[in-house]
Amino acid sequence: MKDSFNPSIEPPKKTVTLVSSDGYDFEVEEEVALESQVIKDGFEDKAVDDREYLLFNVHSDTLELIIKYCEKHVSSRKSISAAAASSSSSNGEEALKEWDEHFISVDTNTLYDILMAADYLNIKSLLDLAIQKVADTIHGRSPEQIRKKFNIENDSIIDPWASE
Amino acid sequence: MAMKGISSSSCNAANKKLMTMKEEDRICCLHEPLLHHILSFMDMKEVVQTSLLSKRWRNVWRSVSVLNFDEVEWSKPRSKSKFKFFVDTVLLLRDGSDIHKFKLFFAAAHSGDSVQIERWIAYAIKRSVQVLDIAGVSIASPNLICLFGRVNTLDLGAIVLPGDENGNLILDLPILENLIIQSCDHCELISLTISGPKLKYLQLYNTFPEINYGTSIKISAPNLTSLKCKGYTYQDYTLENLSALVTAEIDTKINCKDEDADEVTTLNTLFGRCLSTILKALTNAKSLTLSAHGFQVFEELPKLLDGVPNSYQNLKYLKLIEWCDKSHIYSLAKLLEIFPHLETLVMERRKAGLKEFKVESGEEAEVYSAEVAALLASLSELRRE
Repeated sequence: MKDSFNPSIEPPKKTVTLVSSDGYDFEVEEEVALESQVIKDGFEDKAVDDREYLLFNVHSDTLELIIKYCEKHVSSRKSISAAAASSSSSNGEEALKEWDEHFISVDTNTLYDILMAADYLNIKSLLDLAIQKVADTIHGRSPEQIRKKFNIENDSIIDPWASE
Repeated sequence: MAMKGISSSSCNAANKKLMTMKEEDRICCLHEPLLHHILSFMDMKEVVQTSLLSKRWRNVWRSVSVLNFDEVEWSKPRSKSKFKFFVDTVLLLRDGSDIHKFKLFFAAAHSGDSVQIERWIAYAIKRSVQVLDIAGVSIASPNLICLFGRVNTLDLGAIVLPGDENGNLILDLPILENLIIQSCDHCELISLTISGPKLKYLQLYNTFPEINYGTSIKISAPNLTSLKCKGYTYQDYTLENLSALVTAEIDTKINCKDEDADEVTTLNTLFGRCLSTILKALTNAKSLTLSAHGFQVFEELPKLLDGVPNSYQNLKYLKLIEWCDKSHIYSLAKLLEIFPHLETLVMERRKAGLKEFKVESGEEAEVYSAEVAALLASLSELRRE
């Protein structure tokens, strides 16, 4: 990552450590971590040298994606407001939408990991994005197709769609 | 971002672990509010269908708090009775939990259906519905109108608004905060009064060039913070006490296809009067968006703005849309005079495709009169889009 944390050159940015369920540490900038409402609530009460969060429900693979999402949103929010202030017209919001669309185009399993992590960390925009994606996947499909897509076992007693 | 302790091999191991989980049914593991959230994006027909998926899903639909009923989902011949039966059945079989949003799109409804529709809405209100989105219901009975007053957000689209025997309709909305009236037909109405002491957001979008013109609009909303008027203008506006207003967007136009010059002038005069009435009521606004349709009128009737008693002391942001011609420069000068504290001016060009207007190539600044240039110099920002 090009903006990797390097305390010897850049002014030290405040960071927070996020620990995934499988025990990996992720050091992220404070404002990136604050995209999560759960971290934001009660953030001020924590001592500055104790800003470590154990995320028991989030696997490192998912956490990496979540951090990528939050970093992108923090940075494009900055560039959108910078563009607005410097009188240049920007299509930043549309570009971000496209980026979101691409970001959430993942396999069903990853989509669920993201959805549950976004719910756990309470990142509203990401939760909405993931949920919209699931709804789009269900939309227009027959119950049998939905079962197939999401590996839902048909344990209903009466089922007019049953193929047997 | 810096990562400590992650090697590529451990990532692969984690991936492998994920691969083995692939065949699991994970949607079942989601807790109910998340399932409801997913279902909130779908039509009730699809929501009810999920009950066939598995035991876990059988009763999920019964407690969803967002109910979208769209007749289009049933668009086969003679599907109207099926649709009505479906709505009735869903409301009968769902559990008694509260409803957050109730959306009804029922274009084939006629007067005979109004009792049933009233019953549906009354059911939603009994379940504390917050957001009511009613569209395409061609008949709105006075009883239905009364029910509208008991929600937080009301979105009316393509509805025929009824009046009393004198052609008056009073929308008395004591707790409503957001109101959208869009593409509604109220040609029978002489006056439409919107009274909302808690109203914060109001959007009036008149898409009909002629039939609604005869209606006078009266708005009483002391807590209104955002006002949007779009589409064709009404004959007359009465705006009472909009002191809480922060943002306003006035993008109204007049239906002016008549070739008769006198007629056009009369219409423009009326339109100008309406616009100036609106502008006089918005003097507390911080942000204002105006369309160039209005400028043309000020061009011909420069005195109209003279009646604005107090200048806009709070206005910081002005956006001019549908901007297409340098000849509006006089109106611009007039406008800028009444906005002494303006900080940002945005000029948005008319979108391509409307050929009857000449689109300027770019250097509007060259033609600014010295007066306008001086006014513009005091701005902190000028943007052309």
